[in-house]
Amino acid sequence: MFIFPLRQILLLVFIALLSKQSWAQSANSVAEYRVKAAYIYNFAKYVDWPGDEAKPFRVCTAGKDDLGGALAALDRRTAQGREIQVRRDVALEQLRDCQIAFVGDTDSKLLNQVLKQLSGSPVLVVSDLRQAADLGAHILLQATDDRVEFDVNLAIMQKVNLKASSQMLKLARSTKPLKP
Amino acid sequence: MNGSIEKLTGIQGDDNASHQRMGLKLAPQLATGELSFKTEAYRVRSNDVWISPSVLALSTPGKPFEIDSPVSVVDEGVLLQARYSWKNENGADSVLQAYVDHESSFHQGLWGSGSGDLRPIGTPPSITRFGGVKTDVDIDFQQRRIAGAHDVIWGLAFRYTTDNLVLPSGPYRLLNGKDARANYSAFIHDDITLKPDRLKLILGSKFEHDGLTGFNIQPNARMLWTPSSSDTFWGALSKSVRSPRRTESLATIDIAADDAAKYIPQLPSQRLTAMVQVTPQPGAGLMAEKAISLEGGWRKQINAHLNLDTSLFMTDYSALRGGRLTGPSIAQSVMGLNEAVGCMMVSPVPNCYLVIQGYNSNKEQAKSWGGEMALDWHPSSKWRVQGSYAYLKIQGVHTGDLFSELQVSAFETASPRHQFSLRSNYVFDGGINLDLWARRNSQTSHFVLNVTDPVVIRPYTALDARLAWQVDRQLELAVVGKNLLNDRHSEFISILPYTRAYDIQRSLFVTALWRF
Repeated sequence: MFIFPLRQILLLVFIALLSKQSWAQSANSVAEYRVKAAYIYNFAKYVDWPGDEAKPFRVCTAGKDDLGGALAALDRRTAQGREIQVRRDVALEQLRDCQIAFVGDTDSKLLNQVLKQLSGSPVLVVSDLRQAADLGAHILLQATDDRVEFDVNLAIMQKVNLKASSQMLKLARSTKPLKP
Repeated sequence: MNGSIEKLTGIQGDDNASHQRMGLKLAPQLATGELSFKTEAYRVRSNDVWISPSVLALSTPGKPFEIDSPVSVVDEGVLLQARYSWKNENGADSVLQAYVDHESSFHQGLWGSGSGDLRPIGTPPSITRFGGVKTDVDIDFQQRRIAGAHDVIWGLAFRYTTDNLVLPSGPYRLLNGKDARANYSAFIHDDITLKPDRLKLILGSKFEHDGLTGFNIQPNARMLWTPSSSDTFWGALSKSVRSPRRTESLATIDIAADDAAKYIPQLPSQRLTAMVQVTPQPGAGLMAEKAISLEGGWRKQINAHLNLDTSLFMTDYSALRGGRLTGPSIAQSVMGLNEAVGCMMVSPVPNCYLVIQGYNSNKEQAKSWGGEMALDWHPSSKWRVQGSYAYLKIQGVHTGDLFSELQVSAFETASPRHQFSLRSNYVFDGGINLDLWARRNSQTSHFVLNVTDPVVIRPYTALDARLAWQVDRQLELAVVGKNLLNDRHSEFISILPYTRAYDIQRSLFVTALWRF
């Protein structure tokens, strides 16, 4: 009788789990990631940042979550007449050099530190973590029944001189800070 | 969706057309053979309503994602032909023929699906002239020779085609529509009598180099067995090809428009239009569609008054024209998503669109099989009755790809499964003729403008009648009634271009024919 060594069995189970996960990450989540990235691209276009910089426009992720690679597709496009540079897994202390900081829901534990680090800086914090709005992120991207919608935390944006265009706000699900 | 466009839109069909046609034929007397020259010219002006997929904000009111375009059509053509036929000393008949054929067809009207250079913003329709011109210069030679058991026809042909397609805006866009190509072909056809009046074998093939699709061979073999003077059995195996038209394979075509949220549920509904579009793959050559058919039949003369004709066939289609998504899924085949979302953020009306991109391919496959049975009955010298039934089933290979499914499903459902026909012709004394023709077709459906709801043409039964009186050698009077059973019904639909389904209305008219 042939017996698999335990290690090999574990490896097989792991491979099975992995492939199951990549199945789950099929069509639907690809669409979700692409739509979320499209919104972030347009926040870059329709939010006004203070100051007038000629430097590249940085879209950074605080952790490894870059929407399944969908954010990388924005690299080298232009927004506000500036070239977009997408930076993944940027160190906390360097996030200040970014215009947009994205914290994905798989990097949830980073959100508090990111918000603390960026407090008072004109960096638009976007997250798709459910509790992000309560914690103080500027924009929450959320998928409910498949549909991706966004909430804008206007009061917190105003504090750091970030201005969203009125048309962009018309499309938002809510624009009031959830936590006064 | 159900029924015809006329029913859906309420737009009255405008089939008014003016035709002008003239021709001239000259046949000078020659001792060596027959020579003839022919020239023909025509011009047809008509009006039509074309329906295109459309960006939501630009749609015809009450018809989201569709736009009606009334267009005026001018079709013109000129043909010049020379033909010489002669007999050789060895008994061979030869024909040499040359012609120049020039055709043009142009449409003009307020036209456009919205797709264009302004993407992601829909381009409003504008007065557009679109269509094309084509000139063929053709020369061909044919010879027939009977020698022993062989009756051989062979031929050579050369054709040079220049054309220019003018398709400036969606739904059909082709930026460089000019082309010129040569087409040369040869064929041979041998009718071999294996046993006189009993057994025949017919072998033939066409060899063609088509300027669009390259080299194609179309061989066929046919066997005829006549065991008695009243029975004929036959069987045939053949391969044929169909070269695609340049419009269908080289233009960028918007085949459907719909709410983008239908394809990408993450997007808000009724804000963005998804234009489902096929384009040619860069560098991909055109390929001819192929069909291999096996057929067989039996013709029986049952008695002096009754003939029976039955046949069965099976066809295997491959390299059928279809499409494939550019990416592995719909979400990965979307072009212009970022721009469309941005456009939606700033636009108060739903005039923004994204493209679900596919490319043309020749990968679809299908099989069809069916049969036909026809009876021809002469109960008396004055009366003739013909009845027939045909069955057809088409089964395609389904891949699940959005574009492929559309093409394959359309192929499966566009032809009626059952067709019945019954005709009667009776000659009364005094030169009065009564023709009756009843027919029934089963349901068909057609994918047009959107990919989810096919337009269904319900099964219909139609009856036409004609009563004619031959007054004398020169004058015939007739009363013709068409579609006597229904007020109206749809019989067919034209897709690519999608025009109104022509409802056939009940009609009655009187004709007088004067021969002099």
